[in-house]
Amino acid sequence: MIWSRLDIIFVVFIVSWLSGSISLIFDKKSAFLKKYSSIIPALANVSLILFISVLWTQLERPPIKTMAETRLWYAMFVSLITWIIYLRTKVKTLYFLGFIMSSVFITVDLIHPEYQSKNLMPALQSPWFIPHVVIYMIAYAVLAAACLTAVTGLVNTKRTGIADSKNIDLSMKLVYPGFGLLSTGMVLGAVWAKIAWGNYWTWDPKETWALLTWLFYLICIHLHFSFPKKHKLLLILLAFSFIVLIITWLGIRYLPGGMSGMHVYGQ
Amino acid sequence: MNKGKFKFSVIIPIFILITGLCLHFTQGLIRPEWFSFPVNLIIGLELFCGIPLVYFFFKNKKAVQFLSSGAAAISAISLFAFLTTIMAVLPQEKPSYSFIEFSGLNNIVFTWYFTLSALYILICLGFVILRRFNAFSLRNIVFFINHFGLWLVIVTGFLGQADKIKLNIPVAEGSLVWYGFDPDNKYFEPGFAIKLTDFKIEYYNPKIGVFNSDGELTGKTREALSEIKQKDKIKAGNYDVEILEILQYASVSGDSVYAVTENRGAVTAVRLKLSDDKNSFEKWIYTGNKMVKPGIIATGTENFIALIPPEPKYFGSDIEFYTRSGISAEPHNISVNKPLKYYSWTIYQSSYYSDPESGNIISVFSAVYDPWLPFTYAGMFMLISGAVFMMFTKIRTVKKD
Repeated sequence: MIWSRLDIIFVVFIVSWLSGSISLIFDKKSAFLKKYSSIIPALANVSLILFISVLWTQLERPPIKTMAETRLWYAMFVSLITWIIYLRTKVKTLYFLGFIMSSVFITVDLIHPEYQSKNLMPALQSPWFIPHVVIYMIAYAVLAAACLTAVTGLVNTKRTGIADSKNIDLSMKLVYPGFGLLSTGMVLGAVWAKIAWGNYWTWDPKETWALLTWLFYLICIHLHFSFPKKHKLLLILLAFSFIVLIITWLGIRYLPGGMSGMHVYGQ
Repeated sequence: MNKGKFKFSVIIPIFILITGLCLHFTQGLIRPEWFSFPVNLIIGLELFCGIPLVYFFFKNKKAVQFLSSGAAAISAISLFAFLTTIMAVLPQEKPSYSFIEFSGLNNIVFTWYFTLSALYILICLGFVILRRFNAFSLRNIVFFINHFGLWLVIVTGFLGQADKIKLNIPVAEGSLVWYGFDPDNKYFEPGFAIKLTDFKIEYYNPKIGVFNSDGELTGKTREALSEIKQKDKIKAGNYDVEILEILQYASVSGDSVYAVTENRGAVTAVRLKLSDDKNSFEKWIYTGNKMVKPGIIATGTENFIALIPPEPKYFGSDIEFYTRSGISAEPHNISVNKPLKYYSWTIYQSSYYSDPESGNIISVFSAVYDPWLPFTYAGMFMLISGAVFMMFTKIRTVKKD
């Protein structure tokens, strides 16, 4: 099973991103380093995509069921999306933070191999499963980038005393598509739940937290639309919304009653 | 934000919470059956017609202007998010503190304050949709699709609950069942019967685990819990283990294990070849049931290999529907994720269990009658279309102060 080769992917991933990040620090001194830092994340992403593809073939099902598998997608999308955004915006913080986040996800998979092998229960064997989870994964990655941009904006605002409008704009440019994806993922999940269980919404802990995340980003969008000058409040809310998102994704099992409901499986 | 708007956006949620709590303490929890047809239809139509009427007659009044503003939207969403946060943090079940039950915090969805908070959102949504009707542009169309979609989902989702019927129908193989039980375990006859002609179940290959003397999986090894195939080789303690044969259904008698075709009373068995530096031997391991203790192999003083019961890969039922006038259609197959439409009902394969007395498999179906679903789906479709547009929307940028 390709899982035993994750260490190689990890090394390729870390080496390419780390060398890219170091090159980025000195990119003003050398045109080569600038080019290198822009291109090298491609190697990290290709290696991860190859790993996921081989895993998919070996498992004979899409690898999007266990936490270990979803972390792979998350690492891939965060890495890919933050890299693409960096290429378009040249925001270096996003480059570093995207790399750190992705590496953490792969590291967790590497030190917890016990979550790697688990079968797909009948309820998960549905054509709705892939779009539901993958759209959520992309939404999470885009919103992670929005959060990192907002935190950068907060730091800049505090340092200079002037609202960092560039990062607010960039963060909101990510929040709109991220929120669109979040809504799509939620509706797809609802339709699938109706087909599988007969209820499109059951207020199970994961659904309640997913709704809460959606509501927080909805507040961000309305705040940005109606009160565009509330810069600091918006930046703080953007960062806080991502904390709610992280609890939805990873933290529910640690909450009272969190291990009940239809979203508990694959562990 | 001007002071007036700010004041309203704080006062209204507080007013809703206080009113909702007063109603809760005097009236108790809201019961969905209060809104059964035609009450829900009347309320739905009143909202659909009433909000525009109020808007057109009073659109110049301060209250209406506020309720169609961004400040009101943030205030309404924040109140709803606040109640959702309580729901997310406090388990929605029988609480250990009577105060939580007394104030409805363990059953928020059915409280007055939650319902009023949803109504606040509906009114704001309604007014803001009408306010944006002033000009015909792509932006306004997207805005309408988004907001009206959400309005429809909330209204039909809430009011539709009252007419929804969900029944659990357990049926034994060969039996004909005319009734089911709702979530409160109340008897209900849906007007048709289900006959279970055959129940099929398929399993994944079993998994092998290496356990310690306390019965815990050893370490975080990759071998632990791996699904096995014939000829697979794994390492367990000092032994190299090869999988020689897998019997999905087996019977155990003394030391002999043999394949059977019926899954009733069967265990899953695997023949292994274990080799170390000195010897090599073959042995069966198997899952247990009420009659048979699980078969394990000690691989040292501390560890043993055992088989973990296989997980179901597929389960489904062949059924026939009967009406009072006799059989009504040809046999149908129904399985998880493949529900069946029967007139206004949708039938789902929900679960199965083994009857503790007879050992017979009981297939459990869910029958759902949900007449408001098409409207909720229409709302969801609008919401999703708006979301797709939103991904490509050019956003307003921040002007430097």
